[in-house]
Amino acid sequence: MMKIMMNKHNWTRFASFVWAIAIVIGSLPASLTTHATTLPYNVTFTLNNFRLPILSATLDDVSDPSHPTFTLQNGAPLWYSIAVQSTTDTTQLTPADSATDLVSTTFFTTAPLLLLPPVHVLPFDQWNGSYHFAALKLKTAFTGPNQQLHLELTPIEPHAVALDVVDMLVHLLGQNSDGAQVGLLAPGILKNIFDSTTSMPDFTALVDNYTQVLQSVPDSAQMLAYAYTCATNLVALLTNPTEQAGVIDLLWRVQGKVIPRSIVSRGVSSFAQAEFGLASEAFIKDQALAVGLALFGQNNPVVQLATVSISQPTRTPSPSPTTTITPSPTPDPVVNIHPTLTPVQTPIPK
Amino acid sequence: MALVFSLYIALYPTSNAHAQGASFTVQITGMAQPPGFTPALLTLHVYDTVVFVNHAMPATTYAITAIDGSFSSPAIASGDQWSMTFVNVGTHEYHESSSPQHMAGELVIVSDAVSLLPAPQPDVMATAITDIRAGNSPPDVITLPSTTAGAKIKHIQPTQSGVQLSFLVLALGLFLILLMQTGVAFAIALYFRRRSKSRDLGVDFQALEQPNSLESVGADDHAKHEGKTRSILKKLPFFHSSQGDDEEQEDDDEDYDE
Repeated sequence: MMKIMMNKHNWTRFASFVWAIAIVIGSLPASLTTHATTLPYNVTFTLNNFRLPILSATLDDVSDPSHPTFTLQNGAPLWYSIAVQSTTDTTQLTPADSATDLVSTTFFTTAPLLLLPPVHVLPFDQWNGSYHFAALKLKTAFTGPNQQLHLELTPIEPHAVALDVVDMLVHLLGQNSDGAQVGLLAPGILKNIFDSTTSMPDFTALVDNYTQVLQSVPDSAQMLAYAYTCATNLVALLTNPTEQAGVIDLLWRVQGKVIPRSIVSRGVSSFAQAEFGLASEAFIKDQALAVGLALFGQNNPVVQLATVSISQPTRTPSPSPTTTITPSPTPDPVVNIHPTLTPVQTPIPK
Repeated sequence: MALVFSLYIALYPTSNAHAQGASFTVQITGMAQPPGFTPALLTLHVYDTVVFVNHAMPATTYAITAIDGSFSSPAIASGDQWSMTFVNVGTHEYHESSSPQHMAGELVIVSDAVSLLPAPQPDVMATAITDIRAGNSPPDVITLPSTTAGAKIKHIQPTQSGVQLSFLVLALGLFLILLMQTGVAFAIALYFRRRSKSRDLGVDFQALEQPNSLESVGADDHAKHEGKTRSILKKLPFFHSSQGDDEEQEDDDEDYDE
């Protein structure tokens, strides 16, 4: 009798166990189905007005449509300012890997102003088999369908042009090593540069006139006139003792203090006796023309990410086709911008 | 001597002279990567060399021409290079011969009196990057990580090339040659001095050294001749012999003198 009761008990336990397993397995598809139906949208990625392959953007990962990641690539010798706009206040833009990507993290510290560095300036350039480029790896956050994130790359913007001028100064004074401006990645240095140069009138004038040169492309006569003024500003900048001190400090910090300040000082002071005015004028005009003809167009390059609803037959029996992710590296002729785009408040990483 | 001395002075390094400067590379990146040259602006010293290397993608042959006509390269095929050394201060705009607007660069040649920014040392750069990654601004004086405590950085000091060392070696070599020549001249002078002194003493060395002349002489005459020779040789200033020999020979000589 006891044996019979024991056998019944064991069977009961076994049957209960099997039933529990069956319940768990049976609920898995339901949970998966539920998850799939919580993101009823996909992400589209569109590029407009990218004229050369050296300046481009790629969609990296859309496995999670609410957090797609993408990369901006710059193989040109110009800094770009990035203006970010979104249809909702909740859309966020952050570095994709803030733990290890020093470059992307650094250029979010000037938010809401974002900067895309040029090639050969920082020691973290990448190579794709054809050319070197600097990159920003970014991630955005969407919360639903019908949302847009709009990034416009502008080379002719005061902060970008100021850094172009710094790059020109570094090369003019003989620094020929790639990646020598590592100091730009130091905490707070960008803000320090932009703040300190406002008290340097020749530097400010040089930035303004260099901006005019870039805006004058391809009018050679007008470019030459502004280039001459730029050369005048440059000579004054490097020969005026007051501004020399500012230039020395600027170049020392931009190069990450890896060059002793005394050597930077000697370089700036001795360069005053060199005849570089005509050389500067010619370089500014030629460089702006060569780069501008290739990269400048009627409209600035634009990257657009948008969420598009996936059709739901059980809820919305409309025969609309299912939209899929269509990363399109070729420029489209029409740019669709929502009329109520607002600037994105990008959080400053801690 | 004058020629050696003038060569020495001409080749001796002055504070600003270069026999051969540094070499810098300009990459030809082509029209796909404007402005077509990297770096597009290059400042260097007189006697430095610029090497243009064609790394353009897609592979294309390019030729470089200076706007002022100061230089013009042949067609540089993909992967090839062409170099130019500048011996005068000045500036040189250049462009690609067939695409002057799309590919342009600038060379600024300055005297050695102008100090240029040096390339950062890799270890110093790495230390700065480590500081930046840690969220810190690099210190004003970067200390290299070392096993010995208190190690200070070796900051970069621009050094001259080995030109001065090679000049020192050249000068030393010239000095040695001069020394050898002096020694040879001295030896020749000494030889002729001795020869002239022996003539003054009336000794015919040629006659003494000819064996045939002795064979025709009889034995007694030979002995007399030998004694005379010995007595003459003793009068020469550099002639040395042992004490015993001297005394013995003096006795023999006295016999013959009688």
